[in-house]
Amino acid sequence: MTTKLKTTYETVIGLEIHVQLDTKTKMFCRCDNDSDNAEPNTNVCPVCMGYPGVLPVINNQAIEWGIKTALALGCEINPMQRFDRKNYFYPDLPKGYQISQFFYPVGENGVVEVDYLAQDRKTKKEFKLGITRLHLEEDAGKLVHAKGATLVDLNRCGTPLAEIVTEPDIKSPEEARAFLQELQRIVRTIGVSKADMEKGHLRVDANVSVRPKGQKEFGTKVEVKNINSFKFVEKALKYEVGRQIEVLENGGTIDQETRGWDEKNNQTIPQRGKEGDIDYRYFPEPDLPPIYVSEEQIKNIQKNMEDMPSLLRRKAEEFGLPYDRISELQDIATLEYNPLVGYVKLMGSNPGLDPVKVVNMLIKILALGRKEDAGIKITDDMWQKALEIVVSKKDSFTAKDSDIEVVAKSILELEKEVVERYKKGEEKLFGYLVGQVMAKMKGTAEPALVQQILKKLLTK
Amino acid sequence: MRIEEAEQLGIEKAVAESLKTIKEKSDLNTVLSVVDEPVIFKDNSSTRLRPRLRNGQAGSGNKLSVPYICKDNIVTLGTKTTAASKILENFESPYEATVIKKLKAAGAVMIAKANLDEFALGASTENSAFGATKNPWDKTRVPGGSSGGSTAAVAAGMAPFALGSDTGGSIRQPSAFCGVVGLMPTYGRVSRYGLIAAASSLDRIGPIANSVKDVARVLQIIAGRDKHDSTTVDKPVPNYAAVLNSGIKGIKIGVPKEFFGEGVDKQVAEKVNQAVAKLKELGAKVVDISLPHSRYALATYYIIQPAEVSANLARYDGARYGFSTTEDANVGDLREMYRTTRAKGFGDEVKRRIMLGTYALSAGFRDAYYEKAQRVRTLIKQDFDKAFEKVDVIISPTTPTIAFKIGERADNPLEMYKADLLTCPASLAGIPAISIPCGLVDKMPVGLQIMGRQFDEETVLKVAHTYEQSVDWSQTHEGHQPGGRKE
Repeated sequence: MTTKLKTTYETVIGLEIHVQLDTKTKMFCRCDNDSDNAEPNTNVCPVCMGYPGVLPVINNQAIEWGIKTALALGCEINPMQRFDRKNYFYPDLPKGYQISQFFYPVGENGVVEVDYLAQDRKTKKEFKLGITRLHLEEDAGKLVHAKGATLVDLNRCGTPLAEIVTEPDIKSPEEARAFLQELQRIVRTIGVSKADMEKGHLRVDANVSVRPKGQKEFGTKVEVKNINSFKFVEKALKYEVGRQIEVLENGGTIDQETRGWDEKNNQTIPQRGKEGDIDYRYFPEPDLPPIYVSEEQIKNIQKNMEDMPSLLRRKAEEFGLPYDRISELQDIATLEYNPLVGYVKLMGSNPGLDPVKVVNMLIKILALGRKEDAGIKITDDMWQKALEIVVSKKDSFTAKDSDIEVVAKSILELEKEVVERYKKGEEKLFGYLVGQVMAKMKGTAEPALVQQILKKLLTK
Repeated sequence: MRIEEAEQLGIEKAVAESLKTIKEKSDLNTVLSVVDEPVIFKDNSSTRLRPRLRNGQAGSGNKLSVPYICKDNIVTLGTKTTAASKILENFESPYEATVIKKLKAAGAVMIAKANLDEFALGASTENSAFGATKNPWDKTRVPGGSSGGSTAAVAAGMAPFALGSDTGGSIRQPSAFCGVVGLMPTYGRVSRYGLIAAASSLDRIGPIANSVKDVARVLQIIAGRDKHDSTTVDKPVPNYAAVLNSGIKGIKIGVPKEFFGEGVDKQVAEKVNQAVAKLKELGAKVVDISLPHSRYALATYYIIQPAEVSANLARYDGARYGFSTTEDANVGDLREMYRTTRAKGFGDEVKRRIMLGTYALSAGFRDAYYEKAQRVRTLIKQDFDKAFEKVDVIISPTTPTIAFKIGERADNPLEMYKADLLTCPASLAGIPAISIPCGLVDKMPVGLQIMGRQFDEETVLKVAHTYEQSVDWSQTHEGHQPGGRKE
């Protein structure tokens, strides 16, 4: 009996994400952009219905938000952006073409650094993801399949979409989910989208392939569609990766195809394409002049940009909050309020405050409030309340300098690789080291002191 | 009928007169629908409707209380708008075009929708789903196209002016064939909002009338920036009437040799040369120029135009409005519905352009056709830019020949396309151009084309007006006023 050596496989995933921009009006007409509570085909006008003789007019808010989103994803902004026509027939597309950007998108060549909490709920994981491009386009309508007929609702026609295409840098379904959650946080932070996956504000198609470890060429990719919640992202991609490996293990080959996630049977199934292999016959939209963006405009948008979620996490780390607690705060964020924003603000203006206790207190208040009132919302005021309680209890840091130094030394010993990277210029890792020391001290060390001591040790 | 004559009659009498003439000359098949009860705005009520004007002096207080006829590819309320296609046979637009709104505000009354080549694709008005229009000068001949219904109606005295649209010559060529004045304004001067698109980068709405002055008066009202059309330009609209009589002393006229050569009828060229000589007499300087790339204009045009047409006509799919085979029991699925709706709804020429355009944009052919045509378009435009450094206007025949016989070119698309030979260069360059009558050949009118710099309609109109005023039309037109032909 011979045993075959098992091949190990590497997963390669790239994503195409459509983010609905929550602008006041639609992309090319002045219809209300919010159709959540509208009857079908009531939030429409001749322009978004593609009536004879109509012309599109650009929504400047969408242009600005496109640039803002591209900047948030680290993209270079094209000084000249232009719309193109993408031609295909489908009943949800009233003009027979979609106005999109093919040749000159809003932004290109972005990079997003993603850090996330691993499944052990302790470890911080990190990876870098290239953003190929971000472009703007108009959304199509919706098809509603009813008894014996297909109905068309054109309310969604003309809603601005930012399409984000990533490089095939994602190495696991877990990373794919982590990036999507980070993307959701980013677009919510900058206020351009509600990014609710279940409501279709954020829609994901994934290109998935596997290859034997060490092989340079990519495997044949399969496009997975119809993933409409975070829960399904990992599930669907895991299934697809497993399926592809199984096919290869059994000596088969992967077909280049589009598969849809079937949430009832927990599997991906082949989907019949809209029109097979479509030639979209892109050409510049003659009804819209090109958009010229000045350096000054870009600088202005950049200047008024909110702090990115990754920056908030890094700051919180520097204040000494362990990564799992940061993640916890981030996860209770609502559309209106990200507790990390309040936390960073609070810690910044209250030097010497115990970074963990105030969080514990906030969570307690929140739990208490939840019992009393289901609709309780986290606010800056709640942080103030937490602060007052923590301060009034006069809890002080008990650890002495020498205690901290001993622990700090042990952590630096343990995290040699991180220290090496830090010394090579990755300054943001400092927060991580602070966090590790703080965690080991179980809240007895004053963060400012920890920072001081670590700095001293690291510059030695 | 001139605008001034109609004004003297008063709006109600002028409308009645127009409606009467339309009825009497219904054999010309110039109009597709007549407004049942035209909404007549009295002078005082029109004040209320006049749009707020950005520019205080120019344009303010412009009134035009006369009836007019509108090409049936411009959407209007209260009538059908068919684009002369079966696919829009019973289509009623839920909104009206910007030009219609502006004319209404000025007191003008739309009385009928004029015939055209289906979706403005053609040069003879034979491609109408509702029958060909006849030339009032000779009913065996075409009126030209695609605005042939509009030009024939004006020539036959059915209204003091009409609106047309020009993509490659569709105002100027039929104006030449029918002996009337037709202006294609600069691209971006007049809003296209509500014009059923043929080729969006080329389409322009313009006036057709019996005199340069009348054309100028209509332009005065319809010109200007429109927030619904992003390709309109925010430049003040000058007072066109003010410059008409200022003379052409020192004006430099360019005569491009390429527009008088191969394919141009010698007698037609001769008439135009006589007109150029006349303008010289009147004080203009005549300069020989060359527009070397214009010989590629027709080929370039017949790639870019169909490419845009193929996209613009995709919306007629039977799903929302217009003709549809949805209810047809033999139609099994969506793709079958698309196929049969478009097969039955569109005429041959429309299908030909959709196929040409789809091919020119297809993967593998795009670079060789569409991209190359775009580059040649730039060269053609640069030729004009260079020429306008030396001259103020450029003059040529509007068409290579006089109006041809009905049916003569119907089975030969290439011959038909050649009717655009001298008009499509200005279309591709985005510049304004007018066609005015300059005499007869074989008892049929000949058109003189005057092209100008971008947004310099003033000089074009001034040269045209000066020439028009200098001619004794009773001699040239054997007793017939241009466009005012009496039967």
